[in-house]
Amino acid sequence: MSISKIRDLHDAFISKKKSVSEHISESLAHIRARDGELHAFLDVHIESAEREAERIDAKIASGDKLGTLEGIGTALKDNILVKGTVTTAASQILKSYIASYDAFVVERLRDAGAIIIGKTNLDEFAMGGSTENSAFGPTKNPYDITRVSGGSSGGSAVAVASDMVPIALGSDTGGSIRQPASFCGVVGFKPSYGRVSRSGLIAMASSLDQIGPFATSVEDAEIVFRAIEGKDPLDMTSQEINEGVSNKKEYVLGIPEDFMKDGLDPKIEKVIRDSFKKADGANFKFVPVSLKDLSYALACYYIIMPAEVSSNMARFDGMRYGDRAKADTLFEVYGKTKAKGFGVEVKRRIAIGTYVLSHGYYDAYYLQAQRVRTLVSKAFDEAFLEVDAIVMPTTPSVAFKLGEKSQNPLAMYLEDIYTVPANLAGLPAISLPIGKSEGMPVGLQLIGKRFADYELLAIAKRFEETVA
Amino acid sequence: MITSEEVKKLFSLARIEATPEELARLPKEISDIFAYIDKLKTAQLGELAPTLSFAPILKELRADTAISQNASDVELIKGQFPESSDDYLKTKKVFEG
Repeated sequence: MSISKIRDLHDAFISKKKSVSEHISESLAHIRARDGELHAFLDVHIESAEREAERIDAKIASGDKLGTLEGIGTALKDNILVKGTVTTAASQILKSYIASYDAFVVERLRDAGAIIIGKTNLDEFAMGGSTENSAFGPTKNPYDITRVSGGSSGGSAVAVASDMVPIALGSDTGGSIRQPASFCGVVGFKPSYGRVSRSGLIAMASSLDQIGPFATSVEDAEIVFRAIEGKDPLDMTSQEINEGVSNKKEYVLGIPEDFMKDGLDPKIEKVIRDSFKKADGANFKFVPVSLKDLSYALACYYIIMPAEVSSNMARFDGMRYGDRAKADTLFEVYGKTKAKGFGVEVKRRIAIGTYVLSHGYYDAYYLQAQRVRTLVSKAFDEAFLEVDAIVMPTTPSVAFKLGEKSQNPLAMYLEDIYTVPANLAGLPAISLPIGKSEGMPVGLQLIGKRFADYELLAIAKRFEETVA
Repeated sequence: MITSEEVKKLFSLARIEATPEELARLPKEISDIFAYIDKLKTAQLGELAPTLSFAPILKELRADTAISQNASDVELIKGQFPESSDDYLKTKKVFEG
């Protein structure tokens, strides 16, 4: 796409330099040209996208006012329901499931006039960090197709990174927006927990899941966030927040020196520290903060998340929807349906979750983890007394090779080390592309105060302008 | 160390039939994960309370009434039934005998 920023596209539509139909057909042409190799999409909604484009073009022709997102092509992670279309969560068990309602975020995007181009690939039920757990094959990194896209929202990251769509939605439970954004060189934003409704998102771990945007700039991510945030009566954790932005001359960013040592590739560290040097001065001041308790975050996450997974996955029993295996008794139907329908990572997490919730282990694991979760939140609260945001890498390494970690689940889990703390504490966090290491993109993560999402986006925008 | 028998039991509690390959592979993988998770036991927690929910306190509940669905939505939902008989979802017997 020659133009890929929302405001530029919007101006082009209004000034009739480009029609919405042209924008959509460029998008579809890019998908046709590159997706055979990259596999970002599981389903492309060609007819409905073209129809919507024609409708908006007619509106422009009649001189009606156009909303900012109107006519902008959008991709959605395939765990977000779009009424009347197949939504698989990249699982065999839902391979022909047709959603009976629109997710709240889909309603909001439709109201804003965004055009849904299609559904993107993910790790099965969003469980993974590489999209290699998709039942329909992995998504590849556009910078090097022998490497992973990251995950679980890998398809959405690649769709934006390879110019197939200007914006996309993903979901982030432990880093599933920020990590693939970092691996693919785009912006990925996970809002505060409670800021965006989860209604119509296929649940993985309900106290951690949050929907958020991918884009090529912070401004675009903010435009999408503005469209999808707010209270929804169908998600009791969603809230309406009236938030002002400080517009400070200088932001103070905290570097968690004690936590950042864990497993960080020195080449990534150099790129990150170079960006600090560049930003230090006019707009930013960097100070060390102590966040050593964050070293417990990953272990805590790998108890709470599987516990919630084991409970959420119970609904996929082949009774009301999805694939059902044939057997003689009800229990055998359940057993065979799940055995056939779920991939090994889903089963592994269900088993761990079942274990930590079972009698005799509940206090030692689950309750202990929930107390550590409080410890992590408190550590952030204390740090935020001194700083406006925390800054650290998004990932300890660049995108790894396909197959490199798929036989070693613990090694794969360790990839989430820098991203899970924000989910545990419900904080907003964003990954920005800030450079490359050996030709592969490196992402910088900024974490903000809870419900200070626009403030974090303002800080990220300033960082983007200063370092670019 | 988690045994293959324990994995089988966990699968059965979760209503999943385990394959021989899973029973061979998962005990070590899950044990490695627990060896890592065990570092939580060293956390100094004092009197810290668990974080059990981020949900705001509910000020009001919605009315407890049936919400009628339009016919096309009902058809979409029924269309997803793996097996049906007339307008009913069909399953194996829940109670034996």
